[in-house]
Amino acid sequence: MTGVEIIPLMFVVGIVLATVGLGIYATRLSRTTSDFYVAGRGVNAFWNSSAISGEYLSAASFMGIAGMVMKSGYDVLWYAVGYAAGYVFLLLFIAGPLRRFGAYTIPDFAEGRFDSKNMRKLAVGFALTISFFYMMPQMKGAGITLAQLLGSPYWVGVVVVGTVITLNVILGGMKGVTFVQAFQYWVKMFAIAVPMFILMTVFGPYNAQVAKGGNPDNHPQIIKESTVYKYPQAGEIKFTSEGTIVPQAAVAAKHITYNADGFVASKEKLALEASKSYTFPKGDKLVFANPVKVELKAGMTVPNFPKSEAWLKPFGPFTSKYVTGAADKPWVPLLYTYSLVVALLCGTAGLPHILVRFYTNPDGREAKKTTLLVIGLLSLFYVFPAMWGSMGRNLIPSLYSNGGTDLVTILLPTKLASPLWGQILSGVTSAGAFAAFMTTFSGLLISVSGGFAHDIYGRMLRPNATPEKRLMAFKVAAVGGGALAMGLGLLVQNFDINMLVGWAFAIGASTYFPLLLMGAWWRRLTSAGAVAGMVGGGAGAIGSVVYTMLVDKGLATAFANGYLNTLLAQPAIWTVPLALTLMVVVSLATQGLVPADIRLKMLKLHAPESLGLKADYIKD
Amino acid sequence: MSKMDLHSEEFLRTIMRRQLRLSIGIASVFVLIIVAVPLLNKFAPDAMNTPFMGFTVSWFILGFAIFPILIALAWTFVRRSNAFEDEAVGMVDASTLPVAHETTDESPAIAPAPAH
Repeated sequence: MTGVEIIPLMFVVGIVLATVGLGIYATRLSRTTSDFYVAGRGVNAFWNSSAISGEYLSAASFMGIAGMVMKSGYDVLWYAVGYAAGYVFLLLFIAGPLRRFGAYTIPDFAEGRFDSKNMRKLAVGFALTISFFYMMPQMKGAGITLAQLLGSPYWVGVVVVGTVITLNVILGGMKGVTFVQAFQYWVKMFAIAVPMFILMTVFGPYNAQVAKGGNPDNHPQIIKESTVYKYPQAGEIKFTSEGTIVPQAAVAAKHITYNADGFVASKEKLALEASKSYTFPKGDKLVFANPVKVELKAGMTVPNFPKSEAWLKPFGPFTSKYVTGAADKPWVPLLYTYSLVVALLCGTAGLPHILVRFYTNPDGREAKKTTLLVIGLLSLFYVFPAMWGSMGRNLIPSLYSNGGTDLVTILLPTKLASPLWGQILSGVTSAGAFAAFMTTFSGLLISVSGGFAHDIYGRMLRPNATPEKRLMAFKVAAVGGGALAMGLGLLVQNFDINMLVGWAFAIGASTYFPLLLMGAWWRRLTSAGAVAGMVGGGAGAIGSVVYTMLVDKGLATAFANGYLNTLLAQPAIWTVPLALTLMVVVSLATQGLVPADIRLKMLKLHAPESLGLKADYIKD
Repeated sequence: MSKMDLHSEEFLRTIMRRQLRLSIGIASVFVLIIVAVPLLNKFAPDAMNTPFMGFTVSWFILGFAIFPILIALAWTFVRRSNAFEDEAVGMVDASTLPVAHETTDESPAIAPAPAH
């Protein structure tokens, strides 16, 4: 993969131009503040659900799940299920009441529900935090994909995608973005489905790929020619046969050996010298402390290739990561699975850029219909990533060598016999990947800028600002937010995409989800209870994930206990109940803080709109 | 059934209870499935890992079968929830409704959902 991939690049340029063009076209349709923020609520359920789905399907969905299925197999299917199923919780408990309440943002809801300005500040704080965490992996996806297509440095992709989307948000606002997002759902659906059908007619159907990938006779291929691979920081080589490697530069590495049962037997630090050959036996693992290029010598088998049994069956390498020995082997993977599922189910309902879209529905009934359609559109999409992952395992195992499986959707089509068709289909999937970064990033940027203009500027700093001034504040915030996201994106080149996405979901699940669930359904919830729950749950989630990240980067020491490490890496299973419990306990102790008109508030949340209680926040 | 005052405790309690019961009912089916799959993987691995159409039973469930179930549950909820909203409108004593005020939408083309 050297030099510029012309055909895929043309597809990427095409999708970027189409995005900008649609944004400019839509500008003419948005004139008022309300248009700008919420598309005048004139978006019907079909367009709105396409737009929500378009906004939701990020780099993690388009590239990440396929790559992780390839890498770890069955357990990763939970991501696809959880990303879609999160909308069921949203539909059952949150979508209708939130829309009926007439709040434009969660901070509006927080202030309106508790009559508390401080609740607004806290909610704005969490919205900005979650949004920025979620922007970083999008930036990273853009950076590595453009690097693949252009042979360009990482920062080029970050800056190009960041700039285009920031401009588009400034020019079109949400109306523009609604059309653009809806269009891009269908781009992504096309890009993940159509090339896959073509590949399946050539290489065999999904079930044949899964059967082959899980066949115990399916052994890793032998590397026929010595090849140099780039390893990122914390990059791994798990030897699947005895093998010889030659680091191209001096690098420190952790050398881990395993006993016959597959548990860690010893760990030592090695200082590998440049251009020297090192031979390791089958089963050993190296983890590099710094980014490094390493030559894998011909004759060894592809490293990091998971055994077929472990790949096909539940509780494989992904959920077993923190197993320490025979004692916790039966239960740690189960705990990991459940905690992951809790984060995905509750985290979806806690993403600020998704929740804001429910306001674009004219009423609660339409909001429910939109959510139902979203579940359908996402279900359709999420069948496909695992097909890419399964086929990738059989066709391009070389991606295992340096953990590059995230690029499977981009590179798999190049395995077609016809280079032209390979390039064209790779172009289609590259365009889909770009659609994924761009839509999610623009949705988040709108959420951040809207939060700033509407909540911080419009309600805290200058409550009497004119709509024009607020619109200007929105645009200024979009420029600032876009620049900040690009800056953060440049910093996270070495971070794992899924770790960052996991942060956003875990924080959302432990803060916004309990706030919305309890705020809508429990009238005795007080502002003090809500603050205690959000702060407690949020701190637990952020603390755990940051700690896990520091351990991954070698800056902190892991605990010896497998359960504890699992609960830190996937904290939702305890942080969500913690947040809910704190809300109940503190609320019961502070019943004096329940707003006097709580009955009217609950009535607004739950009575059908046709009874005439609705009062919208945004007026011209 | 006698009509209720819109702002009465009785009406609020009725609509919240009925809606919550519907949501929890559907959520429990959903949660039951989500909780059951890992447990079955754990305690009935032979059944879940039986080859099925080239997949395993468990792969087939997470890869395909669960999605139509999600859609069916969501569809059932929306239908019942809307039916209940219509019913709730009929429970209210019309004289207690707020006086019709001018629309807050700048676009009058978007009418609120009609009450049946």
